[in-house]
Amino acid sequence: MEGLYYSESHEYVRVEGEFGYVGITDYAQEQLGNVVYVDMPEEGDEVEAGSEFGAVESVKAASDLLSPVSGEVVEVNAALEDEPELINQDAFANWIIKVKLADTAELDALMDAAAYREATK
Amino acid sequence: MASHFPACYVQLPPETEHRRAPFYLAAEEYIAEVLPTDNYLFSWQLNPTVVMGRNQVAHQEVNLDFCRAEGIDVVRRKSGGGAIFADWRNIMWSLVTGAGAVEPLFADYAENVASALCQLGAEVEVSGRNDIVLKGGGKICGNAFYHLPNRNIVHGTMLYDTDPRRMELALHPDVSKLQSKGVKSVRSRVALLKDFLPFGVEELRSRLRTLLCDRTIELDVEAVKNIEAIEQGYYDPIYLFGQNDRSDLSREARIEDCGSLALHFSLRGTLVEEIRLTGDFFETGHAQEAFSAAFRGIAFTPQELQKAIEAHHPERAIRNLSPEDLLACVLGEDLKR
Repeated sequence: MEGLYYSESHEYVRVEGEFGYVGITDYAQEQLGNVVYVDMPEEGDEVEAGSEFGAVESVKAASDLLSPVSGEVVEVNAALEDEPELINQDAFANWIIKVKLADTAELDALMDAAAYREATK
Repeated sequence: MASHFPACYVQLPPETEHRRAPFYLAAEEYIAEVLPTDNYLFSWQLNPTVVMGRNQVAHQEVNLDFCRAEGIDVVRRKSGGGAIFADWRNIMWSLVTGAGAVEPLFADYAENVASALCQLGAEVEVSGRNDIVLKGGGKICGNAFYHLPNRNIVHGTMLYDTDPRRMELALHPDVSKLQSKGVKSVRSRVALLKDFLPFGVEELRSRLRTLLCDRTIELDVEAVKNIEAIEQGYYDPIYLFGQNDRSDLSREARIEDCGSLALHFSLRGTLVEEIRLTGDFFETGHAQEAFSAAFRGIAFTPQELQKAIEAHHPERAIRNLSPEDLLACVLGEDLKR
């Protein structure tokens, strides 16, 4: 999807003002299969670029969530607590955490849509 | 997709045979991070151990007090799924592969292991879930998956002659009334391979290696040191017992000569983060402080709660509250009078 930033570990960040919405890509949800549980941090927690901030578990597998950006978690997507399958339905609409970006320069290290498409060919 | 078998067997140094489960889980991670992309397989055996799934709440899936009393190790893996019990008569298998989708790799792994067991004389098949079952019923292998961006780890149990009584008791929690989130275990009827194979567990392990692998790589002492460094992360109490969700639990009782007492626990996974008191009891000391000091940071299991009361006597801060009444209240038992 255009306009987003992508990490090598298949998370995306959608930037809106000083905030970044972080989720897993459509490619990632397809690799995992039906998601049954999302382990999320709490509001107020700090996440660090490249570090684990939770996990996604499907009927078959668990996978780490690595944050593409650093900053404070200002919101978690509470809808995923009861309906984790929303990630399968639309991974890009159903972000996992909203982060107050600590350093927008970190975005330069991420891929754009064209580069990510190439990486997941 | 091409098959991942025959794979490359990873030979760990002989002195690593009797380690705790996190050593081998860390070895999987080390192999995934450090070795060049290939399909690696290795097997391991454990003293009695419960291995919980990544997102399970400990007290909901495991009888922690029974495990402590029986010397059963309780650990957590990073793959998904439910809690398993393993002992020395069970073989654990780990497969580490390159990148790829979960579903086809799982199928390839299960089919190859099942086919090898069939060749050895056990009539097994792959079941709809991630299991290998005996034809006619009974689970032989349960498998779980840890998906990394550029690697995949599949590991599983193989029941040869595992103690079914201990398995049943260890995986049967006694604080079952608690409601929390997390991934629930799916209980299955199990079967034992020793009833279908004419050789012992060591022989089975070695024959499967021959059937599933055609080459070997040896890990040296330096690798073992790196694995041990990764292993330490598995013993962090928050990782082990703090998963996943915070939940609240209230216990209330009306106690004769004491009054009403309500205990509000905030749990993080299985650990007590905080406790608050309400009620019309009469304080003889700083009750809130006494209760916080007693219960904060302990695991919410009957034995741990009892030990906390015996060690700190929080009940002394409330008039006419006995340790027995307090324990009954904490456990949500009916007060017998």
